[in-house]
Amino acid sequence: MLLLRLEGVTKRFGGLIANRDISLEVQRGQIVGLIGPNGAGKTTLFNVITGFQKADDGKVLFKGQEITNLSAHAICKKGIGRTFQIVRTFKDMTVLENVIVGALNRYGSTVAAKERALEVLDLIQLGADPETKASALTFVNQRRLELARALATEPELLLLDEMMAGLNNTEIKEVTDLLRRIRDRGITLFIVEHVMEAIMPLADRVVVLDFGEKISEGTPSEICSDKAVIEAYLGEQYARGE
Amino acid sequence: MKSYMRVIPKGMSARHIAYLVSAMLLGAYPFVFREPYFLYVMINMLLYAFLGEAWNIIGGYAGQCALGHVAFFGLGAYTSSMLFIKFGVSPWLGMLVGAFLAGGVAVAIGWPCFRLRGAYFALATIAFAEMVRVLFNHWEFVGGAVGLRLPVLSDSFKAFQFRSYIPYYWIIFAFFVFSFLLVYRLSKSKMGFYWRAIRSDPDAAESLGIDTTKYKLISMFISSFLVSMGGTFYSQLVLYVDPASVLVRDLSVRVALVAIVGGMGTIEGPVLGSFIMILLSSLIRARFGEVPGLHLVIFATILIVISTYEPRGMMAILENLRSWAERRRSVAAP
Repeated sequence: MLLLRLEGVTKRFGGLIANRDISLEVQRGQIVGLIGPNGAGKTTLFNVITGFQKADDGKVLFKGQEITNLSAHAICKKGIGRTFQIVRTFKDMTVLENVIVGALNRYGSTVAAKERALEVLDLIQLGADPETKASALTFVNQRRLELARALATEPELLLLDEMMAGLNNTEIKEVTDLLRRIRDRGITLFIVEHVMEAIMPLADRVVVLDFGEKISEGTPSEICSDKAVIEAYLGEQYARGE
Repeated sequence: MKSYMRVIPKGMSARHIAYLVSAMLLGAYPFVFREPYFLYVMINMLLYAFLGEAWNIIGGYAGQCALGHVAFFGLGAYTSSMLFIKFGVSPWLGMLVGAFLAGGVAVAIGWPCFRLRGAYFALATIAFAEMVRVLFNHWEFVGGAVGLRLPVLSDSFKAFQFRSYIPYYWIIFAFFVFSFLLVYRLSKSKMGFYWRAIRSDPDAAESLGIDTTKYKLISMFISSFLVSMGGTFYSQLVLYVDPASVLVRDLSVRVALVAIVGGMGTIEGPVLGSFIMILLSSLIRARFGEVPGLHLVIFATILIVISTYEPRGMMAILENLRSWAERRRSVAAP
């Protein structure tokens, strides 16, 4: 079932075209990867989908309903959650309070939101005291906390912007398992990622951007053997390695 | 030693005992200190604690550095005074009219200003307050630069006028307790969580479904509503309203400093801040009157110490001391 659909989305910054005429689809229950070199327009595309930047042209449809250029908070209410490339936890609030803020998106009372927040923290297995200040967490745990906070808003689609950057191999494996668990709960994932070892085994489909344009789309194995993708991004070495 | 410490319950309840003791001390004050000067000083302290609580809602909790609150103070003072002088409306009713007016103006001003962040928002609010001051300075209908003199009547609750300071003391005490309880309730509510999230990271807050503009406007409304009530109280206390007293820029800064020195985004901060900034400064001026400006020197020192050592204010310093003492105890215990 179709969950998210982009039709010819274009975003310009002055003379620079960050996204040119991008169309793509994300099916419910899938994990879709969005890859490409630095400056390809991946984060911009996420910002346009989640309402942080206005599209100059094109349409964004979520569950068949147009959500183009709605405000960010309205898009969250529709059921799209996100994390940021640079972690943006509420640093002077505790871990639990961070997640409560997310849970308040669906729960009116702080008591119900707290209950929900504790459930989400259980799923995430943060392994830190819920009463610690977010600023005291390790880097990987700040990432996990941001994920927990977004999950607490109860999204149907979750956009993750470079969850794996800066993590070591053990942490990458832990986060990968976590993302699978989240997908198994029926949440669709759309992921920007640079760590190919992490995204390729995880994703059902991969979309490749280069200089703001979509240059390829397909299953991970199709992408790995695509000449255009190898030239633009993956490089010869990776193609041979597969 | 340890069992002795347990006599005072930890955490919240210790806090509640402190609230109760403070409330009792404040309640006993007018029975002990009956001289007008001591009452006046304490009325001033409570007024600024009240205004500080109000500023804390927008400045401390929602994290928007509003530096034009004197405009709302002035609107309250002028509205109730004008309604009383021209139409004989009770200042109590005038206070409500003024508060809603101030709240409305705050929302109308907040709407464009909240597009600005940080220092630019602060500048816009300062500019707004200056515009209001200039306007009232030249507006003959409201007395212009000369201002308004409220007719002096005999003691009357309806006219919000009393010969003695004692009724004023109880009124501002009630205002303060009301604001304290209101901020306490709000800080624990959904709104309180949202304000703190907006202060911490507005973009992340938006991504979690928070309409940041709406919640900033609500906080601006409540904050200016209360400040406007303070304006009416002040005009009834001095029975005189002019731009130089109720629309002066200093007042915006003082209201903010009370909350900043005490501790932004804490319930108790404005009380501590007002105690230090208003009460101590009055007492220093009274006791060491022969050294002019001594209170300013002491102030500046306190401000420098706080902003370098602990920008989160006196409440954070107390918190640091408490955890330091606890560490000392846990080291000494075994």
